[in-house]
Amino acid sequence: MEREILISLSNNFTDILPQNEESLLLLVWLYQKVENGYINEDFEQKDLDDTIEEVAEFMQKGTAIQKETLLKKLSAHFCHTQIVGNKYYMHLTVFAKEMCRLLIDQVQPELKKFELYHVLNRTLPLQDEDLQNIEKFSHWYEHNFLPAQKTILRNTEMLQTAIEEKISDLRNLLKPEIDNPKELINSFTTIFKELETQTIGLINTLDYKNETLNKIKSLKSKFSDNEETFNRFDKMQREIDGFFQSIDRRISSINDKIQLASKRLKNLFNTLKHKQLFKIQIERFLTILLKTSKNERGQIKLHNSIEKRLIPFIQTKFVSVPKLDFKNIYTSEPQKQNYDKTHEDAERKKGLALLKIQEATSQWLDKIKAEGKAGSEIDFEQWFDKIIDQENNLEVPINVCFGLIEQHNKDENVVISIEQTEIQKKENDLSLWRMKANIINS
Amino acid sequence: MENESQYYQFITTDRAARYFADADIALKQGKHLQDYGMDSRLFSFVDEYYDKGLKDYYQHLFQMNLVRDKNDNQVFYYLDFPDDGKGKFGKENRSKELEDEKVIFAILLLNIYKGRFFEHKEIEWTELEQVFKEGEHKELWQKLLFGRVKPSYTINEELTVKDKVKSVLKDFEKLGWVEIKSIEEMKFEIMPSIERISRLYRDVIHNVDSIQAYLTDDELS
Repeated sequence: MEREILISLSNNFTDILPQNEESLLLLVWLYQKVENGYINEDFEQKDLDDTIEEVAEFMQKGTAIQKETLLKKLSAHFCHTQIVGNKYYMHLTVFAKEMCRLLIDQVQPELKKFELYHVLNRTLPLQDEDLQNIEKFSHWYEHNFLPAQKTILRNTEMLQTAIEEKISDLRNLLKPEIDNPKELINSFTTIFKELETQTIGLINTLDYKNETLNKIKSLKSKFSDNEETFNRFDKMQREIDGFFQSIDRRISSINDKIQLASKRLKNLFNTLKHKQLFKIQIERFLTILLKTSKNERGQIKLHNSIEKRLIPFIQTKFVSVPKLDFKNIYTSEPQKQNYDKTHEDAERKKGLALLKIQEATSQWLDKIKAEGKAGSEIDFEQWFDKIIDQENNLEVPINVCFGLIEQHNKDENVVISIEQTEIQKKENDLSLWRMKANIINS
Repeated sequence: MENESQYYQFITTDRAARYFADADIALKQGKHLQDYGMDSRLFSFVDEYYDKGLKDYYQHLFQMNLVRDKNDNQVFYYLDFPDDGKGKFGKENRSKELEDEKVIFAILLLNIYKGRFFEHKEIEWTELEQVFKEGEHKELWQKLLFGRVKPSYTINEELTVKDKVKSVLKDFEKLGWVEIKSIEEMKFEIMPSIERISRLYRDVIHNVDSIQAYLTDDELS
């Protein structure tokens, strides 16, 4: 289906749209003449000829417009001819009129049309009758809401375009080369006052919509019995709600722009020269910065002649809290250990006894060594008895014995002879081998 | 002493108990306070007590100027050094230099702000991109941002520049010069206090002819 439309448009392209400037101007000019009553709805050949001449004059084309070709092109969709008696009468088609109206509105929106309140007051209100059943409500939706929606949208778009164009024109005020800037400001102030009025009209319209919306929402319970009815109602209600919300935002944004621009225009009047000059100086400074700065390894560096400037700045330092899992953190108090006093005493005594044995061992080894050095033979059996008598601890003579052997291992001057003759000691249920040591003086 | 207690009466007020500490810290961190967003309350406090002791407080105890400034009739406050020194902010770590890239971006934003005299000052990344890639000085911008001028840049090069601008914007937000609306989309509003950059470089801006004359043709080419 869509493809058929495309094929049809493609085939009729040269006829369905005016192909050149003169065709377009001729149609619009004819339309305006008819609308203003300068020529009849069914106009004559002479009216057409006059209009063509006027367009040619406007375009400074002289006789360059090819009348016959032009008429032939327009005759398909824009202008139909009828013969009444011996006279030719022509009229613009509905399509041509609609197209001309849209074109005119687009290039020259009539600001007065923006005040929609009265239009909507006539078309939008919901009467009690419209709320009686879903069919009547649906009728209101299609014949009142949808056309009103289209009008509001169209006017909002027109207003937005007009505002943006005007604001864009306003920027020229800041350029120094404009003539009579104050006069220009005055003319802009007038334009923006008109725009403000139109916005107020739109805002009033939107305020009015709340009443409509509330009425619609109150119908919800009425239509909730039947699912199909409710779905139809719900779809329409959502559509209406969504539309108004979207328009609310657009209008509010347009209004903000108008208010700000109007306010600034008033302020600009006395300070225009200063603002123009300052803006130019900033622009020039920026240009100098751009021309003289460099990119050094990805860093922007300004020219040396542009001094660095300081600003007060005290950085607040926050000591970061360490990341701790408090489940695994112990309190600061050390864990109490199991404490056994008796065991501690016993360990202490054991330590002392060991120390005593080591001391005694060491002393006895020194004595034996001294005797050996004096030239005496060391008969360990005798020393053993002597040590046992004095120390009353078997460990000491045993340690002394090992000590002697160890000394012998380290010292080549000590010779130890061990006879494998058992000596029985009665006191300690002990048997020893006879061991003698001699120290050789080298 | 009598004088002092008279100067700083504001400090005993309920509003000071609520707002002074935050306002003080913000000002000492270089922030410009204006009637906008979260700063509105602090601004309102400073605005109310500026002439009721607050200005004198910074003057006497810190030898610093609490400046009330205006841009397009919108007031903002900031701390500034006195003409003859740096007051109590002269010590180490109590001031910072405005980095080179911040200077150039601040001047760019000020230029945009001034150009939008009749409009809202909300800017998006695409608009900055337009300045860098299609503006009057597009080649100078590209040379500065990308290091060289090319018909197109890699995704990484683009991202690096975008991140650089993003980082500058975040710092400007700390100073109160912009208000970031969306950091992902890089949508922000330029605040009236962007005017401060013109105060910092007032001498250069007003003598832009002399600067231009001082720089050689080579440097300006």
